[in-house]
Amino acid sequence: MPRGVIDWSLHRKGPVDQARHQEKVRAAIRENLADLITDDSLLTTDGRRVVKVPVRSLREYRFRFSTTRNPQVGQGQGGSRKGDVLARQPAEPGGAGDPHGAGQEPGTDYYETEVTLDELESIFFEELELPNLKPRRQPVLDARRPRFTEVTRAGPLSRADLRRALKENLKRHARRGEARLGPFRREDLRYRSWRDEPRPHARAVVVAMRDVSGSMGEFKKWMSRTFFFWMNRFLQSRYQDVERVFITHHTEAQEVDEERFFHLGESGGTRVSSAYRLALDIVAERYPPDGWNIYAIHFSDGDNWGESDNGLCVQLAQQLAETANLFAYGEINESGYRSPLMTAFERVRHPRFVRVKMTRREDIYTALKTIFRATPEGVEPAAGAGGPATGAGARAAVARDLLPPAPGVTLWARPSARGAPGGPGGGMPCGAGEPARPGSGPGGERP
Amino acid sequence: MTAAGVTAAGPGAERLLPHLERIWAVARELGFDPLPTHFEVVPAPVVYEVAAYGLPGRFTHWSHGKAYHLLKTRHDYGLHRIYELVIHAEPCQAFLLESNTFFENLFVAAHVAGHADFFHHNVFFRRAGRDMADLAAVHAERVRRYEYDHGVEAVEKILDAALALEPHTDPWLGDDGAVPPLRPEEPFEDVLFFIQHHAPHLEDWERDLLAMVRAERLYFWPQIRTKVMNEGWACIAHTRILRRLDLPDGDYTEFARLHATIQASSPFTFNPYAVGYHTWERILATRGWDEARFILENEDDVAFLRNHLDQHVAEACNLYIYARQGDQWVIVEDDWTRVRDLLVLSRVRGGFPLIAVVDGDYRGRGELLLRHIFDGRELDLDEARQALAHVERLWRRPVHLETRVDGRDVVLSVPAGEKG
Repeated sequence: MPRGVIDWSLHRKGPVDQARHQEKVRAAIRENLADLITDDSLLTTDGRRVVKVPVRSLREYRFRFSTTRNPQVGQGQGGSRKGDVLARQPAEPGGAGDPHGAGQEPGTDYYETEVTLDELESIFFEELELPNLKPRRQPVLDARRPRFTEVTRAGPLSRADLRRALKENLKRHARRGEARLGPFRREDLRYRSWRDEPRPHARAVVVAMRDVSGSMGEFKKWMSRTFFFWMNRFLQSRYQDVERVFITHHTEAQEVDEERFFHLGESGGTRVSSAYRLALDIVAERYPPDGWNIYAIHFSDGDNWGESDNGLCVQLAQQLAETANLFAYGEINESGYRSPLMTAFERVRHPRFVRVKMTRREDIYTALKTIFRATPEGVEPAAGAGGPATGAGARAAVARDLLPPAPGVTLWARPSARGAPGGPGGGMPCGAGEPARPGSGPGGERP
Repeated sequence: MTAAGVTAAGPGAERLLPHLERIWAVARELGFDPLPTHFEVVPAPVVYEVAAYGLPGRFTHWSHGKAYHLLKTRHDYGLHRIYELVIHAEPCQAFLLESNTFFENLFVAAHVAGHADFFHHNVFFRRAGRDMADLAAVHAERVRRYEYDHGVEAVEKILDAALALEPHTDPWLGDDGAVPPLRPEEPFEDVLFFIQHHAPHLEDWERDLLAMVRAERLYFWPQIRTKVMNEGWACIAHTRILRRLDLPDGDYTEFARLHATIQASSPFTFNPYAVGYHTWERILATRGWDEARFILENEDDVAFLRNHLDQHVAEACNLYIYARQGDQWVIVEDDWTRVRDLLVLSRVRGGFPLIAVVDGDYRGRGELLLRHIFDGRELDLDEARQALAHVERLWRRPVHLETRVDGRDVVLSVPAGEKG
């Protein structure tokens, strides 16, 4: 075989296919977002935390023998005998991606990928948008940013604009009647330069309200905390400054700090209007809508006290929606029961008012996607567009109450099963054991 | 190729070449007869790439990228190194890591001499094409063209399915077997071949992809079926050759360390290097060189382990059978005859279950019926369902698989058109 000198450093096949694999991992993460964003370990994180995601769709499936149901040959270091216990396993192998169980399973090569919170965010937030951005009358002009808009004839080579230099070179030759590129001269070179531009400094405030009445149990608390966590992170990714106001209420509303907001015990009855009134007061006093983007969210199980208060709530919600960029009412209960308050809110007709209902953890994902999607300011959805927006796919699961729903339309449908085929419920699949490739070499064992 | 039978290229190759020639000469004196071999000194990513793909320049697929990533990451964190990699070709191509020490290269070269001898003389390598490295590059080019014509996703979907069925190629049928009827009289053991010829809705380029995957599998098959023998023989070669080289004492310490690394055991699997090496040592000690050569020429792992793994070897390797009992993994058997029998069974068909086509027009509706030929070992059902879904993606009509679970016959089915 004739053989020249091979420049192996040009060899890129492995990295290219690796990138394709990574791309598939990302796609798999996207498919499982609804489960991933409600992963408990994420929410208690300082932001550095890494979650392990068993990515099932990237296993290479084969017909193979079960590693758990068939005896296999192993090799000791001398002195191993019948009856010796090699390993213990707490539960089913690879159950729900338990990272502690995995290492003990023989012959396992199950694929797990690690995602940091930041990566997860970048994938998730691609799908979200800020709704209803209003131009503010008094933008705060305290931020200056360099923008590369200028071109100069002198500068450091690191900022050379090669495309322009190429053009200048062509032009110079063209002036002499030659249609070609020639040797470069100093005079051909152009450099990019910048100027400081004042940029409007966008500020936002999240007004979070939560029902702490006797009916709000652990699950509801957890749901509202998780929802708020993502809402807050998302707004932080879009605004330089995000301030937070926390209001709890039973029959009376009060402003509290974050810690108490999420951990306050339950007691007493419910009067929702008290919270809305306090929210409006705080906004009027401290966050004038001229200078602030206001996002208000209220979590409750909708178990409000008396029909008369519901009427008042409708009025106040209307006001809040007018003041804020967004006012969302999130109703949480396990049963899927629809409260009179939810029904009453049908009467609020405002493009910046959104109702969502959550019964299961996965609903947080669909709810966030419903709330954070762009609707052009002032454009009412076309009347008679079929009641609540029932867009394709996951969005159909949550009704966006821009219009009163047509009678008989299901406001709430369970999200369609996502995730792996054949897995009813589409829950997070477990990473079952994959036997090692037959005949894999030595030294390749897990450390 | 010099008279010595070795060439070398890459950084430091000139300095290395005389030593490689010496190793080849010593190997011949000892009675090894390696194929001519070209050594290439390359950076680590290339070695990992070749290891991940099986052949340099093989077609592109994400599973190769995944394997590459895994190997590369382990290397980067210092957990695992591939010292040696040799491709069965004419001449053999061996890769040496740029970062290897001088002694490591001697060690690897001696090991490679064993492989090249094995490739040269074992009967199962006679039929295997030594031009596969070139053919694989041709295949890769065709895959690239199909990707251009039909889209990456469409090609990937077929390759995913073809690779899932790759182990169910019948090595006895070879390259030019007769196409069986749609309703074979006896279960037909080459599922990939059957689907390639009988799948009702595949296009020509899709059939071509299946043929390519199958051809490459046939090339790898001799290596799969002689893994234990081949690795064991290479260990025999490096011990024998290095003992003759008159190395300084420090190198012998390093030699012992490397040899021990290769021979290391793992509680949940057996090490083919160790089992092969001990079995060959036993053969050489009890029956001599000439008989060992005869065995090397004529046997594969199944015969080798069946005929020559004895109590002595089983104990030297501390082999046992383990199984899961409740929440524990327990050694259930250490009687050497049973261990040997299970070891032999685990090498049949490269360790994959035997799946055969029973009927290509099942129930008269063009459906495909497969059967797992049961030998006492159950399938991983979850995996089997997913693999069957791959079959459906090729057959595009309902597909069924008969197998046995808990002593009862069961049939898994995948209806037509299931997404996934």
